[in-house]
Amino acid sequence: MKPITLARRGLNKQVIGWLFVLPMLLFFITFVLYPIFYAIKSSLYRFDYTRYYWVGFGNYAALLKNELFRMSIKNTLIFVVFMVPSVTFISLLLASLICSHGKKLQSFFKATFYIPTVSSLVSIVIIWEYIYNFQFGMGNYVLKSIGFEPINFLGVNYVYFSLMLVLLTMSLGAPIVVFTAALNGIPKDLYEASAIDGAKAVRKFFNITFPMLKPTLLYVVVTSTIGSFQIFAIILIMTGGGPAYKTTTIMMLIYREAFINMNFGIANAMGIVLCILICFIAFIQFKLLKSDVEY
Amino acid sequence: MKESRLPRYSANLGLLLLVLFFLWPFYWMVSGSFKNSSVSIQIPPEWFPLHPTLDNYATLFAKHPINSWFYNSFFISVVSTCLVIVTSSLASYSLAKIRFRGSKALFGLMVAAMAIPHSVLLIPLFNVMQQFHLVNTLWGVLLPVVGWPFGVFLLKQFIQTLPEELIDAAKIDGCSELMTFRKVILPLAKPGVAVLAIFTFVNSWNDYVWQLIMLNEKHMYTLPVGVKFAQKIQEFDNNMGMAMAGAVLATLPVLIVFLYFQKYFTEGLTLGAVKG
Repeated sequence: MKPITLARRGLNKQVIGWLFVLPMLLFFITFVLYPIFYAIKSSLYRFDYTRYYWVGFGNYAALLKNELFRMSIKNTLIFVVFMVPSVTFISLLLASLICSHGKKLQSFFKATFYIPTVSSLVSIVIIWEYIYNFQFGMGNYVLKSIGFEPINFLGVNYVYFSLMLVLLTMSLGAPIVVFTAALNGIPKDLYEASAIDGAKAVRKFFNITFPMLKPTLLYVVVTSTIGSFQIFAIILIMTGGGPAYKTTTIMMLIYREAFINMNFGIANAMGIVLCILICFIAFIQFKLLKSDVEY
Repeated sequence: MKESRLPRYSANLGLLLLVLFFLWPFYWMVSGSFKNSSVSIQIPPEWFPLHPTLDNYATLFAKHPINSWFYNSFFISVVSTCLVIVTSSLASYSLAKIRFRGSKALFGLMVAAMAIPHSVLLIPLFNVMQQFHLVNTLWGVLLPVVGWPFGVFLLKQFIQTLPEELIDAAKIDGCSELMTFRKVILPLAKPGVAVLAIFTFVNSWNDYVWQLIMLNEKHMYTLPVGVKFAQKIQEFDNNMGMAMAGAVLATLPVLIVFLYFQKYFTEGLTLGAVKG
């Protein structure tokens, strides 16, 4: 009798295991896997207002010659190159300041810096458009009262600065929380030991804090890189990619190509290129930051 | 000791200034929403609304179907959160504790899919929704949220740490897998489920671009899409008071959820980062 029940239980386990996963799996296949395959397939077709026709890698080849696409890569890289180091550095700095306070104050600070991250993007943009308004905005009011000329915050000259300031306020919340947790997790006796050895603050940072923080640092750098490559929603709402395509990032171009020009094939080809680009750079960061954890 | 105090004080002063810089826009939004249109654009600004008015809110509610927008946002966030919790907790239990044949590969596939930037999926997902005739429906907006395996990723780590003995004990007592899941696992996994619920709620509420793509009739809009629409048709033209009232409406519900459940956010973020 016994082997049979065991075998049945083994079979049952397989069936029940799959049954438990089934609902999730159905959603996952329908709304993640299927769209991925659809994107790949559609990137090989073009649409001429009546029918789809096969162009092979034609859409990808067209991207190479597409000046707007090259420009959008450049614009995206400007955001990435500025955002990733600033987010990492500022959030680490703030987290180490926050860490020196008691539990209550710590959670107050964390909540404060996290508020822009959870707020509706539409609201944030409306507030900042008010602040950036040329005539009656608070930005120019402050500038004038400290003796500067008023500036056009969303004009050609200052648009990057203005967008990145808003983006920074929205991107610091999560890294600060993560860094604070990591810093709180470093055993205090490590510092005490090095204090006895007479180590200065700078050496303490490089000998203890930095190595202990490496996994978290890797996490923050990789996630903020992935995020910065996809900067888009705020641009769509705030500048629409202008002035003069200056803030047209890759995602913004993909959106335009799909929903304004109705070129879904080209939009999907761009999306796939962006995806590969992000994976490639995240992989390199992973290798660089991971390899020297164990020296 | 004495010379090391000055940098400490200045550092904390800097921290305080930054806190003000972060909170101030929200103060400006709330106080601005109670100013009438001429006060809202006056220079020098009125730092505190001296003659607070509810006119901005009244006009917005009179001119736009704010109640429908609120209902739509709420429906999308609540239903997607419920579905995510049911599907991911079931799947996570199975992947972490039942460990059927192929469970490892399946989990690997889900994690790998999460490496794909979410925004790249927007366009093919929209095409798929067209095929299903779900464009311009609330279900069309919320169903894809359930497919994203973040919840499985989060809860599996959580359930994995629960002791195996508890499950064995439940089995010996004659519990089926479903009973074990409901009576033993789910109560213990509550903190993880709470984290997932709050994250899903806020993310669904704030998924502005997806809602914008999917919903194309005024009464179908969500609050953020509707408020942005009101701005686009120049409802707020030089009436910054009304613009601020719109901003308050679009963000207040998530802000309340966040402040109320703040603890879970910090827990969830560290759970994802440290263990992931």
